[in-house]
Amino acid sequence: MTIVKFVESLIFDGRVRVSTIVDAKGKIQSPSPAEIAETLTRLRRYEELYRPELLGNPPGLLDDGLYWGALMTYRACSFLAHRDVDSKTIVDSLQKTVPPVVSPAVCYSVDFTCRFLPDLIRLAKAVSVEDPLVGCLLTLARQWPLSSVGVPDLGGVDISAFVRDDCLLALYVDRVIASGDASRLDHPLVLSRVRTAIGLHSELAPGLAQVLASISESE
Amino acid sequence: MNSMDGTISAMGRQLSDLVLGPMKRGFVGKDEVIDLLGVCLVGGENLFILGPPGTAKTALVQELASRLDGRMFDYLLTRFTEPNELFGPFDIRRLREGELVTNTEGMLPRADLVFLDELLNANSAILNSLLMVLNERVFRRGRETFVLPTLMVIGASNSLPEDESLAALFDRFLLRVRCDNVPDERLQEVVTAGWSRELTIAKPPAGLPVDCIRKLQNALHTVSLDEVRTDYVALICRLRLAGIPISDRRAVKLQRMVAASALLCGRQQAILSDLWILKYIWDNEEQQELITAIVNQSLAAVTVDESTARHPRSADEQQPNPEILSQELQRIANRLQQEAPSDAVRARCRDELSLLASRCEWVKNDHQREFLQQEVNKLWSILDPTTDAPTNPESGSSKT
Amino acid sequence: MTMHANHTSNWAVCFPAAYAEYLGQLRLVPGLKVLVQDGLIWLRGHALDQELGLTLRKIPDSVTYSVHTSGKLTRDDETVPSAEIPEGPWQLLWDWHELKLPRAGFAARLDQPVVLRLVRSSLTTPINALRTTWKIWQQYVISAPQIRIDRFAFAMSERSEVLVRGTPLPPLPGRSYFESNGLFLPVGWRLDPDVGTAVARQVMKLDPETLAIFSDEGTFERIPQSSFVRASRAAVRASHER
Repeated sequence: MTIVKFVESLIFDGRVRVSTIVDAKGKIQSPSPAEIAETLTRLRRYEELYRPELLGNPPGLLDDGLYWGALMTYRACSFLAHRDVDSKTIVDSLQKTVPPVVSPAVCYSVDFTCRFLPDLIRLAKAVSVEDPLVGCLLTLARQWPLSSVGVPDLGGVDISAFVRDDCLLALYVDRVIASGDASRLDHPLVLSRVRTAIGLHSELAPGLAQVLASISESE
Repeated sequence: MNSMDGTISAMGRQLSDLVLGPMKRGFVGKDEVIDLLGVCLVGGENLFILGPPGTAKTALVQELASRLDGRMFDYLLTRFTEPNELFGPFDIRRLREGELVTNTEGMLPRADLVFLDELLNANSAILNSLLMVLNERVFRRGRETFVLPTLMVIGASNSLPEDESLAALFDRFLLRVRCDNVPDERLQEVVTAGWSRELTIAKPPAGLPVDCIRKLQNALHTVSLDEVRTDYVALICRLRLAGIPISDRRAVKLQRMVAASALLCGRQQAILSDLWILKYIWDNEEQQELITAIVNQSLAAVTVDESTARHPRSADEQQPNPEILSQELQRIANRLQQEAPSDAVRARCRDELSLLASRCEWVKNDHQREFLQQEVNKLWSILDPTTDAPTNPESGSSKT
Repeated sequence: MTMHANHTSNWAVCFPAAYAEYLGQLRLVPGLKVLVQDGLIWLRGHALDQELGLTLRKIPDSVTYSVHTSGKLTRDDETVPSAEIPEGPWQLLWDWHELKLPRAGFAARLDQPVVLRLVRSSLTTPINALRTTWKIWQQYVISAPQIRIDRFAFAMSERSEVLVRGTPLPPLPGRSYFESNGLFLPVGWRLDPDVGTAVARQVMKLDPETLAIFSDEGTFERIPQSSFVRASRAAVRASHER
């Protein structure tokens, strides 16, 4: 499956089939410029359908981030399915090309495909916790906290890149509540938003509500 | 189920049928207080009754003691009540011999049921001893220690505590219930029932001996709470989020009341509807309607199958009290008037208002209901100044 | 907001007309007005000193109210108004010489074959639906957290109203309902006779795919089951654009 088909299945079915992306010499194959262009066109079209589900207006899409997120997800899925790739290749291809400037727009663009990261990490851990792929994915998870809500044992994450963006903060808070990820309550803004969202109805998120009930409001 | 379990369940039912049931028939409009006396008795916890004088509080406890064939100690506390008056005087003869021994005959330390009227008159001289009785069921004086047979202490007052030392005393009463004059339309029944009680010279017959109550109290831990534990914790969290302070200690203890509700229905498994007891954990009058609304919402999930075995109090929806509703709306108004309430505070106010608004619909008197609805709308417009509240949306018209 | 700010020192007293003789001793109090209506005597005045208060309390079965500027009446020991001052015509007690009681008439009654009707009820029920305006609902959904929206389905009427189902209900102004067996009863009302919603559906000849919502007036409106859609920000935005 090419990256073009991959993103389509990922977004619409949530089920993907991936072929190996490593050639006979063990080198990573890169998509052609035409494929890249087509991938971007499709991602932008899909994002138009996704956008109305968000609260407020998301930041503008950036091609670099959009493509990079899709490529990382594509590669990670491929490595998960095809286990014969050496760890150096995995680390090189997943960690050496991180977009340099991190802004709300970059976070949102990368997140469009990287939001599946928690599922990917769960699947990778199920295969083997020792797997170098798991390590790489956890590194990605720390770098992209918007996309990694619900991933356990990440430690503190830095959300300063997007926390001032209303739409992304709301998206983040929605994910914190949906996953019950109490580790993300350490940011005061997130804590306050989660409290606001749950209001009186702790049954909406019983686990988080217990944590909230133990933290006094002034904190 | 082994035979012991069977006996325990049967005893629970007997208490309902042979003691509480006849009491409800004898005292008009006191079902609620009687049910609470029942759960506190089985749960071995203390009950606080809030209400004006002359509302049959003492008579209720006396009748309960009589129907259990138990010893009762009742006392009207004044600010000058001394320990001797409650616990008994020192034994004069032994005092001459140089011994400090309390003669407890006929006093609190010998009673199965203890009723302390005007509880909040308790002064510092008796406060500590009382706290020990309420907490640990022991009485210490000098070198003497009495383990008390007390099954339950009932405290009554016409007001709620304002100072801290009395708050500690109040805190030892796990459940609280109001005992008001019955509404005018039932006064006729009250008078008639009261008259026939006066005519009956004989004490009401014992329905269940106190020993059985002790067995029930000891069997409390055999009640399985597994089925309701998740819902119980969720409800406690909800109440805490709503600003009702429930300490962990109270949350643990209240489980005894849930178990007691099950036993009174002849069950050894607690079910969702047994959580009704949480309606009675208020600290002040303002909390009552809110707690009721929150607990009722959780009980709304009770299935029809379950309803046959449920405790009558869980199904007996309390009619909303317009005065208390008004106070609660005022409380929301006050919170919103504070300087820049946080989003979280506003969100909670919204949820509370939404719950209370629906309760206002059940107020019977048209004027009271309309007044409360107007207050609700004022609050909505404070919460959303840009949105006009819908003005009684019109519906279509196919006549039934 | 001060909720009870519109109290004035105006008062009113109401008692059964059978005790009209008690008016005699009040005739000389300046400014008192009187009204006889539905077998009751109403008195109103401005200042209520201790002496007058005592005289009024002596009238059997009398209820004393304070009168709000809105005309609502609050009993002395309460804060929520529970009655309304009758419109009148009020007469000065001073001028009111002869007591004439209007004859009680029979209330008009229409002989209609009413099968089911709604009556006020103070028995509480669960609350699981809310009717509100489209504008309020739409503003809520596009700004509410996902966890809240996920619980709801909504149907829109041609009159720009929305009926929302699901719990906990959105914390919005509007009318709340109890839905059972596809019948939406306004909270605070019940069916009379109380035949249960399943039987009521048969009486109302509703097919299984049709829901019905009652108004406080006892009329009802049919809603096809299919008009409910799952609530989502996108769905609300799309409905708005239509």
